[in-house]
Amino acid sequence: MIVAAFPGFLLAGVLFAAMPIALHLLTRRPPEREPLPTAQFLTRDARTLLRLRRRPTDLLLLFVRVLFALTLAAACAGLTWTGQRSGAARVVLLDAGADTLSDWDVVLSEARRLQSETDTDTEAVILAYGLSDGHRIVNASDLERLQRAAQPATAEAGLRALRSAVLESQWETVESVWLTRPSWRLWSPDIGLLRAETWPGRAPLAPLVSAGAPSSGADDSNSGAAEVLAPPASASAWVFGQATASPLQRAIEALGVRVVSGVEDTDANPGWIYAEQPSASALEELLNWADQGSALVLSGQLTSARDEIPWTITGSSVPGLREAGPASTEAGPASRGAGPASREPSGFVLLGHSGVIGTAVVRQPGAPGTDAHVVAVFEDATPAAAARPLGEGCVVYVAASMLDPAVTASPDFPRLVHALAEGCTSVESSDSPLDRGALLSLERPDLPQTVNAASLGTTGYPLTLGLLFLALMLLALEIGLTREPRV
Amino acid sequence: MSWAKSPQEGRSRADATDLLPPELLERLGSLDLVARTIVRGFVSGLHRSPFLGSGEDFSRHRAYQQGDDVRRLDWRLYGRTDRLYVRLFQEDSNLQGFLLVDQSQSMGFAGGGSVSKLRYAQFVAAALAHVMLRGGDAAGLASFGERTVFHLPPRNRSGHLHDLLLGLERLKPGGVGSASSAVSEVGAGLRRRGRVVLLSDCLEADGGASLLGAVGQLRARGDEVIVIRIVTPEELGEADAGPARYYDPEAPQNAVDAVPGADPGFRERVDEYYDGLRRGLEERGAEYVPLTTAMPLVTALGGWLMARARREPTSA
Repeated sequence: MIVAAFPGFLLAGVLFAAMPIALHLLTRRPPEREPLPTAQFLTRDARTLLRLRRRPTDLLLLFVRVLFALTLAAACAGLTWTGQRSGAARVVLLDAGADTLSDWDVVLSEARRLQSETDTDTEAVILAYGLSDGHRIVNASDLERLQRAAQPATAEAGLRALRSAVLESQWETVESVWLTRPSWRLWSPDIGLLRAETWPGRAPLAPLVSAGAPSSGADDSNSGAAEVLAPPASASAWVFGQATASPLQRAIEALGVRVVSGVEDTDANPGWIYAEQPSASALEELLNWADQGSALVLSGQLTSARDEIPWTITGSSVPGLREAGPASTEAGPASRGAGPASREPSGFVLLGHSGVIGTAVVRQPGAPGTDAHVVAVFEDATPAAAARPLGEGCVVYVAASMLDPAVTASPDFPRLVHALAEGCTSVESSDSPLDRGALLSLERPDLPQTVNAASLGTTGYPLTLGLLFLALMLLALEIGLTREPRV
Repeated sequence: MSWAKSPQEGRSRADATDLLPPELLERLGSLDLVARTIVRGFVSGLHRSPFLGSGEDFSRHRAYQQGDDVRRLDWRLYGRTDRLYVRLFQEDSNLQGFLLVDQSQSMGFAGGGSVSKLRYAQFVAAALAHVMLRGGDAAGLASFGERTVFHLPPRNRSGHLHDLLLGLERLKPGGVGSASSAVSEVGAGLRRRGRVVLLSDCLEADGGASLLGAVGQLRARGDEVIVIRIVTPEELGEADAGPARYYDPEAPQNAVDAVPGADPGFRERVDEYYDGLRRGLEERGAEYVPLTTAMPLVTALGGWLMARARREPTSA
């Protein structure tokens, strides 16, 4: 199958090719008259008129010119020979990185099971990624001999491997199953944006029984609801720079958390401190409190960049707030998928999944800094808050204003407060299991189960150079024909 | 008839000009220069010019026969060989001749070459004028196109060659000509026995019958008639001409869609026409010289003149 990168050139080529045909028809000459004193001895040749009207040389020239136009247009259109796609396939996306080391036997048996349970009319293949040499399709019998990499493989690497393998294949439709241990090491800040672009279909995670990781299919939504709604362990909060009766303070107090009016109002460090857009001097002081054991929650535009802050402002040097916009007001895949499970205890909060916050919340640009833990994501799986330990305490940055009434009035507010206050303790290490919302962001159950491989793009043999060469040859032939003296 | 001897010139010069194509001669520009170049080329190859002139020119010896004039006995030879020989001389004659050039429209045809039939005829006529005047004969110039035009009467005086070449140079193709009427008119213009050299493509509307009739009349009168036919290879069907609507320049209304190169009958019919003309001329004692514009002039003209010289009867 031949596909064009720029199909518009093909249409232009057809119009271009029509020009010599039109010129040929318009400039068709009447029979040439030639003097010949001995013409009286000639006999009339009935075929001569036909020969004169349609000279073989002219027709060949016309053919060459038309072919030249079409070839040039095809070369500009970036044609690629992709071969004919057919058949359906099921790709078992096998994480062969360091994350699955402890469960490797389980992973292998699960991979074999998934392959063997595939329908007979569907080809089942195992695509291993996170190998020392990248990724490749492997036989079930070769699984034990894989050269695994020592580093964990990210979800992004898995998605790119899946896309690449499908592009190189001849399958027409593909569905995939993900076989991995879903820890935070799988995560990447941009996964929310990359996910649908890289693989526009579902990638359900197969449950690993002994992995201990939360399964996307497990329903444990009620198991820890009380913990979420309970006040954070350090149940005293100081809202820096706000009046005592601010909506945020009232909302925090409603959770049973004691709100202090300042450091002098408490015997020890406040459990957590919320400061929105503090000045440089205030930030210095607040970081000292965090160093002594408080959980410092920051938001808004910060006037000084400190390494302790777990957020990196990207994009504009003046990080103005970005409207969430209509896209974020829609219930995203994570929010839809997380709907029934939103009450489950988790250190990971879907901000605005209910649609109340999402319609009004504004986001601060940027991304979690190096070594920072993502403790909350927006409904499109973009990181919303990140935490980093500092001394005995913790520094958390949240990319939305906690003073926004839409936030405080949200049913998710208690979970958000809990996640922020426990930012550095709830996610102790990067190999902690992914939150259900993050899992859904990877699985994307809202997308089609099967993906048409042709929609991913094109790979194959580019024909541009060959077509350009052919066009040059035709041009040379055309020049040769036009230089040839006509009989 | 007696013709003056031509000056003998170096053979090396002849070698250089033997293969001069008409296109090259055309570049020489001056018709005088062209004529002299041609004449130098072939005169050196001739032991004697066929257009020899007047004088008591010795030709050869012949054994004495009874009745021969004893005044022609060569006594010196008798003294050496003790045998009687008579000396033979060429005829002493001052011939009047006309160069009759066809300048009709069809003579402007050049075919695939760069030299038209008229131009080629001008070359030939100029060369012949050179030879004739050198031999002491009188040469005049006439042409015919729409009508017959007498340009110069037959003369042999200083400066006449220049006039002849100038007259030839002024000829331009045009009109529909008839060689038969021109030959008759020129023949009538000769006050005594003379020579008419016709340079034409000889394409006559009546198949050449009237031309043969006119030639026959001149021959019956004792005039010498030389017909130099000049055509292009395309007209003979020797060149590979492609499909087109062909027409006779002198009858453009009669066009025919044809492919001469793919019509074997075309060449046969042209050959048949000229063969008939040749036979008719030979039957009437006229000389027929077929030339094409592709022939190198020195070779074509020189070959004919040498052949003519070999068969020229020497008179006793």
